[in-house]
Amino acid sequence: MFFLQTNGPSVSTVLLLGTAGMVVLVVSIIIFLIMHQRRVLRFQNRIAQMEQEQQKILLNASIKLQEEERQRLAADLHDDAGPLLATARLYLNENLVNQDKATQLQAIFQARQIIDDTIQLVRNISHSLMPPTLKNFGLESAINDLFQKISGSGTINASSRFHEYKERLKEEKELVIFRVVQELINNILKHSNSSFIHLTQNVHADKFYLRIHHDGRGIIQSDFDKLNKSNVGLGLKNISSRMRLVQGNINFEKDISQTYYKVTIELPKDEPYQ
Amino acid sequence: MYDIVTFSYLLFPLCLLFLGNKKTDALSVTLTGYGIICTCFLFFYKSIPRDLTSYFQTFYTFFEYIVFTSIFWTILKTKRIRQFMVIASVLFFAFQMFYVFGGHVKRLDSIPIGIETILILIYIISFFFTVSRGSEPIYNHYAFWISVGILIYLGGSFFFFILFQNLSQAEIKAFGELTYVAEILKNILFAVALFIYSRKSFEHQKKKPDSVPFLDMI
Repeated sequence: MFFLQTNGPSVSTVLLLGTAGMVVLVVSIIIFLIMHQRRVLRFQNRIAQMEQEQQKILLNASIKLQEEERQRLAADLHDDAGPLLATARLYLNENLVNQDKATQLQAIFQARQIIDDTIQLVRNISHSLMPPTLKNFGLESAINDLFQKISGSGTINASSRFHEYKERLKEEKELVIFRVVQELINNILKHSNSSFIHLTQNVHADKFYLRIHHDGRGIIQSDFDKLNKSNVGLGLKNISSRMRLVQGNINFEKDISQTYYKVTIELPKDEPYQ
Repeated sequence: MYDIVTFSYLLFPLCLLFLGNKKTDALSVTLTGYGIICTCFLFFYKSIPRDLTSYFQTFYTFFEYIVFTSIFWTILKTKRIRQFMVIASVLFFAFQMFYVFGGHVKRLDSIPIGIETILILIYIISFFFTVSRGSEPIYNHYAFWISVGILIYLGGSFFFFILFQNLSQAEIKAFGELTYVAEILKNILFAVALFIYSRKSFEHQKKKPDSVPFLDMI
């Protein structure tokens, strides 16, 4: 300001130019600010729209999967349980009282066998809906059980190891994680053509980790993100929704040695299970 | 032109009277007080004795600074900027006291006006930075119009006041008209801000239900 205190005819020029410059600067700042904010708002709206669309896709996938599950259940009951019970009924018709004792006994035994098979079938359907091992003994037992069944089939070598699971997660979280693992295992069995699947669990810095390794054809994170945004990959969308539910993350990657794929599930650890 | 400027300050209390929002909140009280005091000051400025003009000019500069700062104080809630406002205001006041009582004011307190301009510009930039990250268009915020008004006023009069000591009477008369235009524009934009502010608080009041509906039916 002291340098501006000059004398002579240049003072009015300085004043005019200075004032004009200030006015132009003010107007430019205001225009720039308004345009910049408009651009930011447009970008934010676009992000919100994309998030909404993604939510819609995930919700549709969730509903579709639910419907598929119901159809499968209906098919199992209709195609398996229904005919079995109908057959049992055939053996136990009113004409049985007119038959001789040996025929009657045979019919009863046959009916009993069919009813036993039906009971086992219904039990299997019920277990696949909600495995009692998970509720009664926890995630570790349920997963070990699942892997034993897979290994028992002889087609693939499946093993699991829980390093640190003294304190169980909340029941709802365990169910969600179990479903995610089930879905991942199903996908590996269906698509990857792998010879082994290995699951490990540990805890580190208040986070719960589950890692699945397999040596077949797998996907990496970018494939997962792409499939999630597309109309296919219902199971993966379901995994995404479930992980969001438990505030967890899932990461698909190929090992540095390029010999196997790994899927890492990470979620915050709970307070001790009551 | 001087008279138009003087009475343009009455826009604020008039706006408040006719807009229907008779709430005595900070902005309404501040701008009404600002309008009335500035009208009185400009109305009686020419009759103030010459030896007292420097004190009145200092008072006017500080009063204007305080009004603008108090408006931004209610908007900028960050601890850091508020601390800066307090420290800057104290230092500015101390400098003004030194400037006026040290006999440095010749025709106008140019240096304090320059410092006031810079400080207010800092507050305006902080406000723009804060509000531009929000989710509403910036021109919906009443303080945007206040900031634009101040920017036009300060931008249009900054060089005039800084170079005041070196201007002849004729130049002062000629260039002074420009500053009057800037001042009138500022007052109009302040009135716009008051209108936006009143409309928003009126809409906000309208949305609040007086009672829970359907439960007071007999």
